[in-house]
Amino acid sequence: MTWTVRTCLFFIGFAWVGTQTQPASGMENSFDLESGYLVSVLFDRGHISRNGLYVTLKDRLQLHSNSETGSTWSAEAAVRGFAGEWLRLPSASAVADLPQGQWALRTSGREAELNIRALALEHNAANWNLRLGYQQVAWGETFGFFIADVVNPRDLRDPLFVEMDFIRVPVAAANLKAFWGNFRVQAVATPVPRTNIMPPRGSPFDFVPRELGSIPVVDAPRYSWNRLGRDAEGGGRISYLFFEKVDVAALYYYHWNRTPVYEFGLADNAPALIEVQTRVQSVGTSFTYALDSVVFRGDALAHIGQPLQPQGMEPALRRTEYQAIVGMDYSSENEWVIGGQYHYDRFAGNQYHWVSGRIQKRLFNGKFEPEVFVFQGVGNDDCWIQPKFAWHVDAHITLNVRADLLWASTDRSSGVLAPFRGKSRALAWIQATF
Amino acid sequence: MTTQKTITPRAQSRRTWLRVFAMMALPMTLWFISARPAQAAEPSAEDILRKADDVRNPAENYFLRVKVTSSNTSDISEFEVFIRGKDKTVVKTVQPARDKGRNMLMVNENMWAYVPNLKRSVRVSLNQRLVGQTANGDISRMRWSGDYAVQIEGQNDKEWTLLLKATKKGLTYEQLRVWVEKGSFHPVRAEYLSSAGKVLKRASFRAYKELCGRVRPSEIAIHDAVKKDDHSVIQVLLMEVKTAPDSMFYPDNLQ
Repeated sequence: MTWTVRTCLFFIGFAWVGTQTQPASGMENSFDLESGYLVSVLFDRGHISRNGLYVTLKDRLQLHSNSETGSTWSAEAAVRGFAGEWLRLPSASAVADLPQGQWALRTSGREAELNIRALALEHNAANWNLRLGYQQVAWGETFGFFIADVVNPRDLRDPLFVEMDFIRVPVAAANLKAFWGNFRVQAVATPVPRTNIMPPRGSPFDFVPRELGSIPVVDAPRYSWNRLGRDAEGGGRISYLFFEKVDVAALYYYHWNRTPVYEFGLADNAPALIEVQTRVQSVGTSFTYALDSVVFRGDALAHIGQPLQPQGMEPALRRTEYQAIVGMDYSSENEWVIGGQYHYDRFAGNQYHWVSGRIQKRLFNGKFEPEVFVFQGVGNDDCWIQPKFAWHVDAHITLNVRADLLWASTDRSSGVLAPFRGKSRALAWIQATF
Repeated sequence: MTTQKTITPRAQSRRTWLRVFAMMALPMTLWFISARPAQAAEPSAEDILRKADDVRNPAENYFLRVKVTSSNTSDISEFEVFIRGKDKTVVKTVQPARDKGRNMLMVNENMWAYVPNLKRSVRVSLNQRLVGQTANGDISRMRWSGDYAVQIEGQNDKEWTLLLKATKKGLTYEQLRVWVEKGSFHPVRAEYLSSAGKVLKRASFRAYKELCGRVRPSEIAIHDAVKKDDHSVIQVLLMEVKTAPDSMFYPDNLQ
């Protein structure tokens, strides 16, 4: 292949979703099971980089406690497991020839991973609800980059994989929401935070330059229950639907930095790259407004105390960084969705501008769903084209094909995609659901 | 001197007619007065529409489980619909399995859709299609009164023909023509019209049966007005008077 695809990830999943809903008197249980097989191929080396079986189990039990107000209690638990190399693939042996730790996503033997995706108890009352336990909290209204999604850390082992349900790291939090007419208020507290899951050294998406490969890296400390509350994160959001049309929200969250930054320091009296962990305050606003077939949306945030990646030996500076995305999308009656966004970032004293567009159309009675997302720098060289195609073979089987084609420079006209330069990839996902 | 009044034959005739008129006026007036209550019993267009709504909606707050089949796909879609009052609806997708979790919330003329792979509610416009010929509004907006100004366009012995014009922006259909059966107030059929009056879709309300203590339509068949073979059938599998908590009808709680 001549095009600049350096890596290719094949995500071949066979998912089986079983659902049992047993409405009994005041009790409902719903159970989902999804199982699949994941294979990643790096095109530039022709190696299998990931090869394993995954299983996601989810159960939700709901109890109706009061038939007049409709209040309910519910418990939700979801886990996702991954177990490597159940299938011997032709090029699997080539992986072993790679230097140790070369690729983060490669499997070494039957590596296993188990993630709690949800473990929460929830009470829904007439005009408030409280959710306690491991959960995801989604904020923000725009697409492509989820700048207002600050409550959960992220799994950054594949930062271009933007299916947020996969990459948000669930946190043990208390999440209280209250509602009065058009007014909504939400408070979130995470007494023991979690950190981003970082790509291992040498992986395609490792944030540490390969030239610094010999220097040890000290990961951010993991927070423990022994320090309950002392490392806590917290904040909230208030929203109001003005004139029954314009939904405006203001948000604040006090958290540890989500952007990975490393600075030089000493670890065991030896030079090391230390992952910076510092407090950041994110303050922002979101809005949506629907006018017939057009929806306007926007997010704007200031991150106060955001650490900046130093270019040399100096410590990381803390600055206030700004991000904003505004856009609109139009839905036609013949099922076209056309959207456009303007993105603005101000970091490290520089201002960056981008535009993005999204076109989506359902074809042949919804059997085919092609979509293209284009993100183009204005005054910088960033370019990200993400074509997607979903083919619903029948009610159970869907074939998804996707590519992330990236162009970026590392010189003065670089943008935010510079770390991903040359990491274009294609992705295919077969999903079967029952 | 006395003056004798002479009565001309013409005046005599006038008096006779006045007597006849007075004799008839009394019973006519009485008949007219007695007839007025009968005229008042003739329901207004608004009453007809409200009663037709009552046929389709058992209570302010209720729950529906519906199945949607379409001519252009072998897929069967199933939805759970929670209706609260006149303007709040949550639609949860149960089938097909691949779309499970794609829930929708409608509050007045605002709509949000839940995107499972983002785990986030996204504001969307109302005219997005649910499946086949079925628009979101076909199952999430079950009441016409309040949304439409109505007038009686015509009637015969069996039915009223109502013309409904949207009083709000953003509704799924700008105009509707609805035929309502006299006596039972059962909606029989409808035409969904563009603002210019062009027929977009035709619907028939059928398979009337006992649901929630009253005879109600258990199927709505919707046909495309141009592509006659394109049609969808919404079948009510279950209807229960059930109150979902108000907190469920907010985009933050759509998952």
